[in-house]
Amino acid sequence: MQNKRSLLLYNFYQGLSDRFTSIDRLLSHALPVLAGYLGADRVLFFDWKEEKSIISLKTLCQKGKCYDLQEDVFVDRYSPEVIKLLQDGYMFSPGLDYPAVYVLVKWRSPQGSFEALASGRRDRSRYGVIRVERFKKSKPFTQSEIESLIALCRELSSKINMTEIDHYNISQLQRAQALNDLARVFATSIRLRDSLIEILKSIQKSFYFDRTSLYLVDPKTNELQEAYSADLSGEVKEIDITANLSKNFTSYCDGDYGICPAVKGSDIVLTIPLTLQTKNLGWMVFDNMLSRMPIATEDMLSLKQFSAQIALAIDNARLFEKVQELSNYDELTKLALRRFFNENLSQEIYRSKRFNLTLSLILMDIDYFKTINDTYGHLLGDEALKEVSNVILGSLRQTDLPCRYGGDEIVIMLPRTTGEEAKSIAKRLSEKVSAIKLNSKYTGGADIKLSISQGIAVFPYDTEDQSELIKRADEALYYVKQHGRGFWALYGDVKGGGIK
Amino acid sequence: MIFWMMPDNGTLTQRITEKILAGFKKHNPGLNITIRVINRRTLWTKMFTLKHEIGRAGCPDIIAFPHYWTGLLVKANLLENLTELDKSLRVDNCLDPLKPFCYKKDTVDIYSYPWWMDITALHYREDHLKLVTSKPEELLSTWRGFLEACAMLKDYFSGKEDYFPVQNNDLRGSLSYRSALPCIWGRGGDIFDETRTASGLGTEAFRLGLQDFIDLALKGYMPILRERSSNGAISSGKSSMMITRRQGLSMFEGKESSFKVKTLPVPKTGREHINYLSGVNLGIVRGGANIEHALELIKWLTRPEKQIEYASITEVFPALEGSFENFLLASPHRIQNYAHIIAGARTMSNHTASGTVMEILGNIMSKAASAAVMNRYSGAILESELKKADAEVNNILHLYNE
Repeated sequence: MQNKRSLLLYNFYQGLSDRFTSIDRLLSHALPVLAGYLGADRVLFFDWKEEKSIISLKTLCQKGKCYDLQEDVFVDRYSPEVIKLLQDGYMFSPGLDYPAVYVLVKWRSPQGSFEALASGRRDRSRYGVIRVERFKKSKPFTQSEIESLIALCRELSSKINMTEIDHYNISQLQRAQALNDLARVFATSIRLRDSLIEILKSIQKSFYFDRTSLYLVDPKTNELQEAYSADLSGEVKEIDITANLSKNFTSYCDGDYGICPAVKGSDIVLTIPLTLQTKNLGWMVFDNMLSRMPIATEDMLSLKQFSAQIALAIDNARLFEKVQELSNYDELTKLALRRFFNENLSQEIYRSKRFNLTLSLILMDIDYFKTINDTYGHLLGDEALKEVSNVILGSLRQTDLPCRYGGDEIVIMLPRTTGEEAKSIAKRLSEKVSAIKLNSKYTGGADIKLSISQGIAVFPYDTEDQSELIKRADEALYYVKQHGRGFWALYGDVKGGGIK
Repeated sequence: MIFWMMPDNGTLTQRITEKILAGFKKHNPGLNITIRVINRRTLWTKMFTLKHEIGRAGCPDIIAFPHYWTGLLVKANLLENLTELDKSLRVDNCLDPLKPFCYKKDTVDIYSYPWWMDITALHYREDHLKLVTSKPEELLSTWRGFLEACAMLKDYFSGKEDYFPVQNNDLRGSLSYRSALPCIWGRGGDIFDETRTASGLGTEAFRLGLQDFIDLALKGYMPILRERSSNGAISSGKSSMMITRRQGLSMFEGKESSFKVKTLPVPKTGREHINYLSGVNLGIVRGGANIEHALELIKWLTRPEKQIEYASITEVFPALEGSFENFLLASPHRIQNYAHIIAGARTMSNHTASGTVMEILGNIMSKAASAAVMNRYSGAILESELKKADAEVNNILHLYNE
């Protein structure tokens, strides 16, 4: 008998000598072998969910085929049958009119649950139950068969344990790979918006979340500045921060992180603060609200570890943008500087040529600016420049680019704008500038009226060349200055009317 | 080619599908089709992890899934655009209620194709009911009458061990949220409001409808979370009635039974009978290696004659209009029983969140079942669960606003 059992074990073990990527695959291989050796009509594997007091059918094997089914059976942990099963490792199924026996399978999960981790519980024991059935009443299981079955289930337990460890190791490797990929993204993205988009895309690509959201606060005020999210399609969208969600880091710390209160603290939502030394940068929310799948403890740990790098990447991107702003924009007027403007103009002219679009340029200066400077001092001159620039910045589209071209000379690039449209813009600017009231502390109480003169040139009608275009606008501006100032002129309208 | 499907025919699923596919394999001799039977819960989970598996061994080429998951699977970029693969593909000949579940929202692009559909109804043993009433059809037309019938049957069979008037059709032995839908709809409730922008789970009508169904377990009329005989309870005489899709009948209809099973609409909890229409659609997993064959297989399975063949074997209904009519007309029994039931059929919304709401509902039912079996259930538990779920669904609808 002992030899027969050993042979059975040997054959069974041989069948299981492969490595399996999941318990499902292991079971779909093992259960038919088990059924074959024992001459069973049906073998079922149940997962024992102790905390829910149910055993849940996972796999059913009949006539050599395995099915991934689901059926929950309520079990009372303290019923005599269950106590016997835990004590002896097997029990006969009650209430069936054919022979069926339950055998316990026990293994250790390599990972703990959220709750176990939180409570510091170390017990990672997991239980399963194998039910072996014969449909003929006349073929009950003998004691020897039961002993064999118990021995086989021990082998199966050990194999499940190994498969779980393998699976865990593979997942850890995948996580490490994902984090490596993320690190590479951070190293290559330096613009803030690009970084945020790449962070979200990479997390969605590497982890199993339905949605990842990133909320950024102003480190000085802690107020919410901007927020983005990527859902299961991988698409990144800006979140409307005026909507009903937490408005600052303090409210986030109080538990208001822009998600349904009903799921707070549940294992389908994970939030991680983004802090760098003493700076609060924002927070991230990872959720599985659609799938309802619990977030893996390992994902939580990996992302918590990685959040410092995410915070660093965001801080770097912010610094980079600040440096860029300083090098591309004039500090006094906040208008673009000449080099940055020329680069953009060149790109825009290329685009306009390619897609047959018009582009207008307005070149302007403040009338009698030198006199203002000489009479009232440079502080008022600066104030005048700042006020005019504010008017310009507040009157243009996002695609338009105003630039401090030199001294009080300002040039504005207006993509996809005709000459007539540019004239309307010039008129509007002129009106708004004439309404500027300069701060009396610089004027000594005098009421100084500002006005601007503007010359307009249009691509491609006036010229297709970049430097020529600026020259044409300058010629139109010259015409305005020669003819009384305070108004605007289109190069095409005035080129035959007195300008050289 | 790998084909994932749900165990809609229990342990016969694989065998039946292999039989149906035999003709297709004959025309494609070199093609190996592996069928993997996966339960709904596991399939649901896999739908969210599949994008990480594309191109790996074991990744499916074609999936059969509940019709109302289409919105979600399209959102997750998991399915191929069938219209792009074959411009001539149309769903005009499909049954009207199933058509919206084929398209990507606001487009005419087809992403999934209806394979079959089924309708929930009340099936009962005529011989049992005749023992307690002379007019079973009249009694069973309302939920109140249905409960009365349950009480009378329980009383009549009180000497019979393990007898329950209603057989539980839930595969998990829990309380079936899909079977509860007619009760909810009958009361005037629904999972979303009319605009589909807010949850309906917090309404009184919804709670009452759900409670109607849970009462079956609380009153001891239907077993929950118990070990069931593999042959089913109606066939062994341990039950008399069952609310189920037509497919659930195969377990006793196929036998040489000495009793007659009659079919009626699900008893009404409100003014009219509403029965749950569920469909199963086929979709091709994006980026697979066998897209062309998968498309051919979908076209083959949805041919009118194949629809009728599958419906005849599995006792479901064809999803194509013409096949459906022929299938119904072929049996006076079917016409007589189902004409009325089909007229009052209703289905879910094709929303990204529909599957999630059903999962949430399933959890509520599971908690209710556990509480009931441990004698801890109270109306307050249901109320509190529904309140929480309502807030959650509203949040999901806000996040996945359509």
